[in-house]
Amino acid sequence: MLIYRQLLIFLLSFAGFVFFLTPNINTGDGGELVTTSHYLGVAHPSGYPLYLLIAKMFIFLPFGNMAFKVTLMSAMASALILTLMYLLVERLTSCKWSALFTVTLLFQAYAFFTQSVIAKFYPLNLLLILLISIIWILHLNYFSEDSKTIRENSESSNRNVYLSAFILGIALANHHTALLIAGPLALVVCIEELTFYRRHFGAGGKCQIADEEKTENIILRRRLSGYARIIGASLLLLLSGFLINAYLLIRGGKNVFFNPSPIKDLDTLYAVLTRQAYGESGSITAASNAISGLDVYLDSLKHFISAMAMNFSIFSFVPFVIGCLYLFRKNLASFLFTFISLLLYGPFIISLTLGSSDISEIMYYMVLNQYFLPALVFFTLFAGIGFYQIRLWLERFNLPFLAKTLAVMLAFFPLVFLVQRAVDSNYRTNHVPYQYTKDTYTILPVNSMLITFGDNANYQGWYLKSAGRYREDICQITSAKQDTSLWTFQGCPKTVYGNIFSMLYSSKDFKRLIPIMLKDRFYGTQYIKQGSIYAAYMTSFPFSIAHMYLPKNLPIANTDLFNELTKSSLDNRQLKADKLINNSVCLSHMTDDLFTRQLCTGYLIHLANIASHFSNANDHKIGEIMELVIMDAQTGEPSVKMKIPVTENNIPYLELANQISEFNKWKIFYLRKKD
Amino acid sequence: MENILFKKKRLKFTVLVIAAMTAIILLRLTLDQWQGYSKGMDSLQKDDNRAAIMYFDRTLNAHIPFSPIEKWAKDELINLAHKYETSKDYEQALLCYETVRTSRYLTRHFWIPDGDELPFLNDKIAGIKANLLVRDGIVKDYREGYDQQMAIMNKDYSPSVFWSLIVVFSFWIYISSVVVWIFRRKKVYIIISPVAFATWLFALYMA
Repeated sequence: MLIYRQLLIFLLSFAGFVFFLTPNINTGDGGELVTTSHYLGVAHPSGYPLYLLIAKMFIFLPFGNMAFKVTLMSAMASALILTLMYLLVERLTSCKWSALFTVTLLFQAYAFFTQSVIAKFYPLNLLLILLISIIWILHLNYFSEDSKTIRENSESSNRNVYLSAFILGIALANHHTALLIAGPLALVVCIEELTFYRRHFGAGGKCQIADEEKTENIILRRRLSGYARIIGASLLLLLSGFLINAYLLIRGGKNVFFNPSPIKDLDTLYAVLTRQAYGESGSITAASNAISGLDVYLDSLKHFISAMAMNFSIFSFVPFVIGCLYLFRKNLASFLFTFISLLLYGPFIISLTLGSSDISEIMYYMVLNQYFLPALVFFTLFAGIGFYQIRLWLERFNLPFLAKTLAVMLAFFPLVFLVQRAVDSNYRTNHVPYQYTKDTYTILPVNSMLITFGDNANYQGWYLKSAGRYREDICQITSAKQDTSLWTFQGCPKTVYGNIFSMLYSSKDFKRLIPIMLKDRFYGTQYIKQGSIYAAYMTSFPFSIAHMYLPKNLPIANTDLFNELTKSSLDNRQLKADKLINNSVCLSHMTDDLFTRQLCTGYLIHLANIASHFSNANDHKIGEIMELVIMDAQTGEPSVKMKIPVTENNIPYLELANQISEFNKWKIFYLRKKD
Repeated sequence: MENILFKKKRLKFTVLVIAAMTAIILLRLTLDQWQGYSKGMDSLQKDDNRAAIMYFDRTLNAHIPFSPIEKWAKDELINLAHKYETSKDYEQALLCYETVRTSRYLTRHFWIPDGDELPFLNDKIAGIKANLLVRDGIVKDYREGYDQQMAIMNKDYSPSVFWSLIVVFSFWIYISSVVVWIFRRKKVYIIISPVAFATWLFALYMA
């Protein structure tokens, strides 16, 4: 029956995730991961070869679009996680309701749910970590106690070490945070050996199982000689899993059409693997800063408790604490493994990534919503066991009916919060990333250049242009930030665009781009910021949801006339663009995705521009003036300030802008409750 | 005998699970297609072509092989494109053609759905872009613009499907052989693993 219940859990949770799954591309890394897996390239550091390989397999499915297919991988991994959690808790407690409670509690958790319906590598990372954990938790709770012979115990233990080593190796080809599980893993292996010694040799060192093995010396000798073999084989298996990273060397070194992280030699391979491009957040630097002050740990603990309360509600702490105590008494090794894992993937990761108590909304969203996903699993495991203990107490008070009724009701209760997920994580309704990106390309004239800034604009652009081959006449130059002149040609390789944009590839001198700017063919996804490298050469004008770039010092005689002509031409083109774009997507997405809301501000600028076009005297002014201030999401500074006289003709545009603004003001889940 | 029966049962079970998962996915995609198409038709009736294009695009992106709804949505987009082309509204026509073309590339798997229509779409898109380039004074004549655009669109830089499949298969064989070796410790798996790994590396290079 267990297998059928597990199957039901898997299929129902899979169906739930598939229903809410993103219909196309999501914000964040999704666009890059999908495009890179299609071209078998190397994604941003640490390259994520395992994810890309499995994603490539999903791309071969004969239905849906590429992004949807790759996102199915997240749904599948999460459904497997829930199924494994059910198996684990049912095995530990022999109580199906406790197992179901664990599953429903985890299923509705905001961070777990949102990561399950978008294209990201965290569910896969979690699945691999959970596999290692399950192997050992079950081993510590069952096999160690029930095994009758030394050989049986040793064989199971060795197999688990081998399997864990191989899975860990594989997991390291997906995400570097998997390495943290090695700590608790090493601890349980040591405890296992100590237990073995104490059990079979007793306190006085005498062998307890004389029938099976002749003398204690033989057992000890075999055991000790076995260590070298086990360690050797484990390292070999760890390496066998880790060798999947050979993908990076082969595909990164090859002249692949789409390759965000080219790898020229072993040095660049090392830099990618250790994420050196991220400076302070790089794997090695972050690890070397692991020892922090007590205040940082206290802050991290505070954030961790707050995040757990937001994900599971404050009431879940009751079964969690009881579960901790229960497991502590029942099996110390198992408790230590789970609790240390929880601390490592919870407060420890938060201390590495967030550090201080003052955290921006973006950091909250990026870190608490994804990095510490395994902590959610370990938390629910304790909560599930605690639930079982509560049930046992009720039964002990001769209240079997109440115990059973409560168990059934509480097991299903967390599903009530799915109503919340339907309005804050309903990614099925989120067409903004795809539509906004498509609109950005649609409004540009043929043979234009577009500089995309930041991960969202870059990655979504790559998906649409390099995977979807939309508007192939446009050259997408990708840049990380405006304070660096560094740009890459991922959406505009020389092999394809060398003839049209020859001026681009010879050098990165901005002056070479002036002729193309003067033909109204140079655009960007951000306005030119004061003090940036670009500001020394260029100036920008808002053009619909993009920005048109022009040279700062025009190499022409009559600049006033040129400016006037440009403004008039821009005005007419904005009206044309208005017929091409679809801002309605910003009024229908039921997600609190921070980046989606940021994208929607682009439509506000467009609407404000159109409204100012219709703000002349002949548009019947009504005497009011509307002030529009759009804040830069990264710096918090106002990026656009406009004063628009309200007229009868521009009221619909202003009202629509207001609606979009109000609809997207919604804070993300974690912060909403704080307000 | 018992072993064979067990294996048969396990196979049946696996097939059932895969069938159920496929049904779930197809149900979701059918729902997306149907909603996209009906909203698209509603928008067309309200003369809101901009919204109609968006909804038909969603229908095409929820690709299901042999779906009649998808074909209707594609036909509607092509009809709109013809209409705009006739009225010389090139930007709108370009949007329609590009929408159909991109939806085909985004839904590619072993092959590109409706791949036989790509030459027609490429021709239309290149023609429209050439007209716009001439209008804006970017190129001197239509032919130059047309050839320039066709040169970009005709090439496909995607990795070889054959070698990509070998990459995926050999990768799974490698992983499975190591896992099976851990449980069964038969020499045959020690041989399979490096062979599968070497094949994987070779296929990665070739793809």
